[in-house]
Amino acid sequence: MRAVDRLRFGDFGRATLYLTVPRPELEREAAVLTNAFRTVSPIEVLASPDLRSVLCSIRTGDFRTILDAAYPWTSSAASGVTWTFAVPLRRTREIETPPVHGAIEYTINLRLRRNVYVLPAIEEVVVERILEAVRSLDPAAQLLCESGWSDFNVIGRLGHDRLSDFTALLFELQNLRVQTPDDSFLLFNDVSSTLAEPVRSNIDMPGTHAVVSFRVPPGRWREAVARVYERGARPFLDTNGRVSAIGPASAFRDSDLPFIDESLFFLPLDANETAVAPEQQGNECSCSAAFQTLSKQLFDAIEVARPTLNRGDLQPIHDGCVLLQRMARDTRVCCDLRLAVQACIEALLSIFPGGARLSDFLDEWHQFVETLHRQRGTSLCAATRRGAWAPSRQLMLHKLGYLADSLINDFARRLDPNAPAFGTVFDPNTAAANVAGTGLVNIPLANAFTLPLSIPDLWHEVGVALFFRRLAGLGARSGEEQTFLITNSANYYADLLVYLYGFGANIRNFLVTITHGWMGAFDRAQPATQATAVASLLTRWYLVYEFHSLRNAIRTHGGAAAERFMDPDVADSLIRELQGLVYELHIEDRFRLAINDAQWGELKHAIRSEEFSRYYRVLYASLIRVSVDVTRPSIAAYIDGVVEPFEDGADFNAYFGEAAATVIADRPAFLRLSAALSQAAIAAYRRLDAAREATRERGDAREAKSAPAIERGAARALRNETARERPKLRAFLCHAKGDRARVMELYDALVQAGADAWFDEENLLPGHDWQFEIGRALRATDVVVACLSKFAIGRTGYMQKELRDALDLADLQPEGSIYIIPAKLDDCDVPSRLSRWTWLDLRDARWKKRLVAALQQCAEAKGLASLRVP
Amino acid sequence: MAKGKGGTPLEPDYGNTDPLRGLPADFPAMHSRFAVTPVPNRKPLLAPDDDRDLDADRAAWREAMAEILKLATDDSEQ
Repeated sequence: MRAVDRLRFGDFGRATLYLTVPRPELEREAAVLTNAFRTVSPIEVLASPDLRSVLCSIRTGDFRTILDAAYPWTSSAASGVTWTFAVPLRRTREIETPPVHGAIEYTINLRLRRNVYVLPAIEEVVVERILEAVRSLDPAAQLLCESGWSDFNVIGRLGHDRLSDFTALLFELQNLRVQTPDDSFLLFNDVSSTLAEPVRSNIDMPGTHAVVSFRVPPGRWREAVARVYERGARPFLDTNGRVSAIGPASAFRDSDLPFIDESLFFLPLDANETAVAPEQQGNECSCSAAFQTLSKQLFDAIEVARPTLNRGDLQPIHDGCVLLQRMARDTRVCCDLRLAVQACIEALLSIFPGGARLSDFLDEWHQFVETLHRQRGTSLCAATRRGAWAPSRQLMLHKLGYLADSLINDFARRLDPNAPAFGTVFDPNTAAANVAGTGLVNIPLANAFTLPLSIPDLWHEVGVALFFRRLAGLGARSGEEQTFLITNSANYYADLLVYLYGFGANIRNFLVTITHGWMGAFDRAQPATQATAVASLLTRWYLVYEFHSLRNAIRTHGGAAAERFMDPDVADSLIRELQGLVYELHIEDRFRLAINDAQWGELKHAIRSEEFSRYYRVLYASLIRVSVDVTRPSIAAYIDGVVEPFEDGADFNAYFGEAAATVIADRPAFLRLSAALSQAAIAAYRRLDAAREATRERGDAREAKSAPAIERGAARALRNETARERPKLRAFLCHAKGDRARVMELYDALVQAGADAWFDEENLLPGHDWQFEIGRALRATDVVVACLSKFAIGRTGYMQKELRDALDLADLQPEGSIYIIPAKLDDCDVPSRLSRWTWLDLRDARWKKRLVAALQQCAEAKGLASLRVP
Repeated sequence: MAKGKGGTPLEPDYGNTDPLRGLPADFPAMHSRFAVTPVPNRKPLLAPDDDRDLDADRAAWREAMAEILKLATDDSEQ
């Protein structure tokens, strides 16, 4: 690629706040905002021509301060608050053009279509095409890339006389295509715009039609549509919870239309009204039709139930609906997971039976929303959800979450090919945290724009999870002392893995990043807490340093050189070396961390204690011979804001680790570095995903030769994976005793198909604690086959408990995966709690084939051995 | 954890996929790389302990290190 074609990010970003305010409150709110953010940078507050929406833009290199301020506050009169954060993007050597001054500031938001991502070097093409189109209207238009790397913003200023040209530009952008040898794609899924101007002006636009698009909560559609008609305007409904309306511009002045948030643009009066249907033009995907039908049914059902609900109940319903809309509109989700989205809606429809009181089903609804939230990586509990799930943050965060998810899973697979799946959540905590046992890791919201800073924390949480996986013989003893010991061991073990696998045995990067994370957590702690915490930090430094020294001694000089480590007095010289390194890295100055002589003295005692040797020192025994690639990747280009494509087979985690250490140690323009690095990584991941999908579909690796280099890497990886012998899929048969004969038939079919089936009649041996064994088998299984019959359903017994446990475990499964398969042994009714899953009917002649097809899908998703039809 | 003689606590067990396996019943629901909330009554890790048996400390060090060095230099598994 020629250097001139590369993209480059600027140092300063732009935070833009859109909000809707009641008109009488507009000026007060504008003053509050100006005052609140004046310390960050000069702020410009503008209002949309309907004088309800405020647009407020802040040019800054520090998004974190803005996020920490957590606007809107409770005193605010605003609703429909949306923050967007973007970094300027330009081609190298671009010529600056003088700005065009105009009264109206415009923002155009462009969302890339998912299938465009996979094209090589598409970012350059997109930038080229956008600038070509926009520069005819406004030569000084600025192009920005949003933090999710799939949205572009164009911003600039216009005079009132150019509004019609502006609308024409929107259509042109909507129809931009990219041509490939085989096909032609629309570039953008969604094009929306905002116009705003100084708050006090009162423009008039005679001779124009206005088009507005606004969001309506479930249950208020009819009201919104009626109000549009009252104004002599025409509404268009879409199933994503939005209403678009077109009419004379004056119709929307002083409007009391609810929830105007997204678009407002103008057409000459003679424009053909039928040309205006942005959703229809931009979206060719066939998923939306199916989604439309189902979601209409859902919203109708909610509408029927709504009068029976109180205000508190409406919130989770609203949350759930918004999530579904997001899922359906998310470019990542659309085609891949349409069946899952449809299944979700079908499940919701079962919760909203016509005529029944919805309040009877609210618990079920809450559980459902909770599950959705987990699957979408938003959060686990209500308290953290409020922060992570503020609509303003959600859009960008789930895209960043995709990147974080990919990185953490790559790291885990590298350490252990059988590691459980990890997911990430952004929340307002100050330190990364792992929700025990779920694989869900919370990332501090403040690191949303400096994701590399969180990567060592993600590695650490992987290390903790692997510690528990590998720790045999721990038993289930409890007690504070035991918990304390285990927590410490897990931390020490994870530190060793971060040093070794994350930083490629680079002790400097490890020391700098762990200290940075520690400061984030303890900077403002009470002195007593901080003193204890310093002691803990020192021991963590020391253990890794001891491991580093011993490992290096053995690798450089062989086993004989390590003999000096047999004498505990070696600790004195190791601590002196560590102190030297800490001094050399300026750690105490850099982090304002004062370590006194007494604390170093205590360290000397602590690391020689019997407890430290028995529990913690031995932790690195199994790692001492591990060999890692110590090459440090070069991130120089990213520091300059250049999007350098990754090499084929590059270790993305290594790049992010290097970036973390560099950002902390050298403080380059972190926004620019983070933007460039993440842009390169997300593009590479999306191509890898597409390559995997293509390889799976074709089933012919030969075709992968013509794919770009990075796709060939993926194809190779897939072939290698196939060559290894894989473990069998485990299936648990949940049944009632009375159905034994028929279940035995199912068991035989599973075994013949090549599954590792668990059936109590076969697997429970005399003397086994059967409750314990059943629980263990259930937790370890990949699929649960729930055998349903008239006999089983109507009966109380242990099967009901198994089913309940299986349903709990089903909530932890990844979105779209097969986990529970209801199997009808006779013509019984499927219980409502199982009705969301498609059932298998054993009276159908093709049941074996259908069962194996389902299991095969599950086995493929988990990388397990293939199954065959018996 | 087994405190047994020379027993390493890290015996790989890749077969078990239960993520909660091995966790004590009262294990905190959230684990963080940097625990912000101090656990009440926790013994400070580096508390000076005048009654410590220094011989036992040295013996434990040697025992742990001997095991580590044995693993590090033993070529029989290669």
